[in-house]
Amino acid sequence: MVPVPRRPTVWSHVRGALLLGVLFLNFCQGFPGPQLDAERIDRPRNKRAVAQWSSILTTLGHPITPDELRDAVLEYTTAFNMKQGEFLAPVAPAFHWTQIRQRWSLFGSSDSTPWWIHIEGRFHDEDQWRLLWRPMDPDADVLQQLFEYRRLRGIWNPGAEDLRPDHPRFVRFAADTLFDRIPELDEVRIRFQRFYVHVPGSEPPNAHVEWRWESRDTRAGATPLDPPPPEAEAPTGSANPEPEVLE
Amino acid sequence: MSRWRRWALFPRRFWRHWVTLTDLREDGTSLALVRLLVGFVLLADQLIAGQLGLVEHLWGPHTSGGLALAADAHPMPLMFEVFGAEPGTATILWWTMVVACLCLGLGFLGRLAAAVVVFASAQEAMIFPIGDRGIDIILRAICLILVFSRCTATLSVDAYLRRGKLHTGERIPAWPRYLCVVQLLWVYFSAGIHKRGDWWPWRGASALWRILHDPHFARFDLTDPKWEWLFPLTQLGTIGTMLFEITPPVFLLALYYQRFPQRAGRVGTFLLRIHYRELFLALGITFHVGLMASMRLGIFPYGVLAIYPAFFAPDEILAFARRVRAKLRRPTPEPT
Repeated sequence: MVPVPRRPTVWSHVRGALLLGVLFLNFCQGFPGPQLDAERIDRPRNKRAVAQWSSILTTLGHPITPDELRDAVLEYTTAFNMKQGEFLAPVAPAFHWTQIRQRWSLFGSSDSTPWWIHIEGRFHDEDQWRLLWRPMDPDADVLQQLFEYRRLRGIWNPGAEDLRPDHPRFVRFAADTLFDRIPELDEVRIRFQRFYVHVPGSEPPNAHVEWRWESRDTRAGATPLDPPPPEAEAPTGSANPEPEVLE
Repeated sequence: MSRWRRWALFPRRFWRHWVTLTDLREDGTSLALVRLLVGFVLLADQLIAGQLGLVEHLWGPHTSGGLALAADAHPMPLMFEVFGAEPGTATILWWTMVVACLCLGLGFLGRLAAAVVVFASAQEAMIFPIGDRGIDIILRAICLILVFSRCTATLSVDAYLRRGKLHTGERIPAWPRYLCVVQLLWVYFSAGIHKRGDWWPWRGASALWRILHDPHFARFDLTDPKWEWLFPLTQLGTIGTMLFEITPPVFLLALYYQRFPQRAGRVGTFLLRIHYRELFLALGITFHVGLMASMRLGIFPYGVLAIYPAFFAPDEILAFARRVRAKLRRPTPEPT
């Protein structure tokens, strides 16, 4: 049952050329070019990387300051992305209509301080918030299946430093669903706690508690998303570290 | 023949080999299994969304409780243009996807079904981009390959209606299966070269440890110090993942030498001797089964494993099926 070679026809050559073209275009679309802009390159971690590379290049006999390197990288990136865009422009509709991209970054970086969503509720005649759901907590599993559906996670799982643009609608959706399922519920609060991953052998676990991006919703209507608090509450433990910026 | 002459002839030789490779024909079992599994994985995902009551929230307009702003986009996604930005459009889209996935899995109007899956899944991506995860894009790309293949030649309703039997033994072009393999290898390779920081041994190889602690993805709470003994294992896992993801070019080389063993030099012989292809696939399967067990990633590991039959030649799958059948039919020995 091994594949059987046949005598090539004209169609064999045409098909060979078409397949080679498809592979080439997909390769060009997925070519791992840099994805940097001024905002990204100025993040603390990237700034440190630029400074490191500038000193490496200077040591190797190509003196360049971090600022010069930053500008050169941005210039190169812009030029590369423009050329790539121009080259792929004739086939861009095919990628658009199929929504296929060939640049893959599956868990490209790992986060040592990821965010942890908490959905809490306040019931009739109660002052206390009760934890309704948070991932990885078997005791707080209200509507767990719904909230953890993979497509929905995309909307509530924040980036390293920002919520997703669709987050306010998630707040409204989560609150509406909870009010619908739990008639005694008066108010819903969604907020994120910084989760410190302790790596064995490194400094002891950080006991500091930091909350961010709190939003509330009542039966009467949505409350707009709170801006991040200027100073995070620090009930215990060490000083609040500068948040790590991950791309 | 001089070295210069050999180089001068390279383009012609390459082209001849390429045309021969893309012209090969084989039994359609491997591709049929990919079609079947991909169809049913996608179907399961749609059914879960339906069962959770999320259809109108995910793919409906924000004016009626939808989560994304596609109804405000210019131009709007085609489904909104044609059927209007209404909650009912989300239901039409969902039913389209469900019926197409079912047809794809069953192999009924397979190529048309694959085309409809690509279109409907792309519309879902346009309406709710943040919910379109990597696995959706991978499976869309595979379905696009299936559109141009004869994936319903066997193990399908189409084949049964045409030939009166499920396994027809019909020979089909092998290039769509090869493209599925290349697509998945590119996913791995691209993901590998995009990995940064603590994925690399010189940065502590602690990426897997951190990811397994991320509360949004982890299946188990490993924060208790009693689990620290797992750390070196996760470091090994991190290095293994990196090796797996950056070595697909070597895998292609191993495939080539397996197909043309007479051309294997020292490297080729070594790859054949250590069964590199089998090792790579075993590592891949272990990797995805590990993901299923340790993380909550939705259909990702299932979707990727659904493409794995493409890595196996049809005769390998048929031989495996024969062995299993023989084992099942073997009479149990009489007690003495």
